[in-house]
Amino acid sequence: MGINISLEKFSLNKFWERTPTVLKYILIVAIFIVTFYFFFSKRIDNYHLSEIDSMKKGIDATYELIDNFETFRQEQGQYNKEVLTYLQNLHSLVNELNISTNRKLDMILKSGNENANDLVEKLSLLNESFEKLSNAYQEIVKEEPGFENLEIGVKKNNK
Amino acid sequence: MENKWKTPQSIITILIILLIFIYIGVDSFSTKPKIKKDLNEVKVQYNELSTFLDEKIPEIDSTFIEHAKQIDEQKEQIGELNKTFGNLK
Repeated sequence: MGINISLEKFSLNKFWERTPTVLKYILIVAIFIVTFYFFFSKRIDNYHLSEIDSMKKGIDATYELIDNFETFRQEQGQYNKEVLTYLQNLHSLVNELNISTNRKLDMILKSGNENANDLVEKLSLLNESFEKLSNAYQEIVKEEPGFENLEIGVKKNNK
Repeated sequence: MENKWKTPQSIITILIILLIFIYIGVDSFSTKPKIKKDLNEVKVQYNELSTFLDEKIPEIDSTFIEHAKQIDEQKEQIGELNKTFGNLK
């Protein structure tokens, strides 16, 4: 049996007329199915694939976050310890200065008017020390997050 | 009478229909196993992550508690320092 397709005058109507009716319906159904496949099923599959991909990325990001937290934990812990040590040292220094001030005041009270200029000069030096200490402390308070609201009152000794 | 099923038109139409279904079948059978494979992979990764987080979350909690303690100590130190400065007035 030979298949003879005439290409001289192709007519879609003639082509369609000679196709069995059942095949016509099957072809229409197939076209509907392929359209549905491309518009819905394929789209859903692609959505699933992209969703799985984003889940993978999310898992990787979580691992990265945990790694970053480890670094943060170590750095923050170290920083907190350093601040504590610094504050403790500062406190000791203030205490020492307080003690030495009291001693010097006692000396002034005991000395009466003797060597008044010398004592005034020493008091000036003491005031400067307090001023430096106060400035250093205020800088720490400014640098520390969360310490901004704490106010430190330091009153200088007047000449 | 001409048998319509053996005409070239019928054969071409049948071929078109077959091609459509073969394409859908091949595409569908190549995509679905990929989705299934990826899904299983993600499931495994998710379970691993879940186990990892079960270990890490208590550590993270304890870290925050430790940091909170350190900050409390700092506050305490600043309070004492304030008091000392107050005594200097």
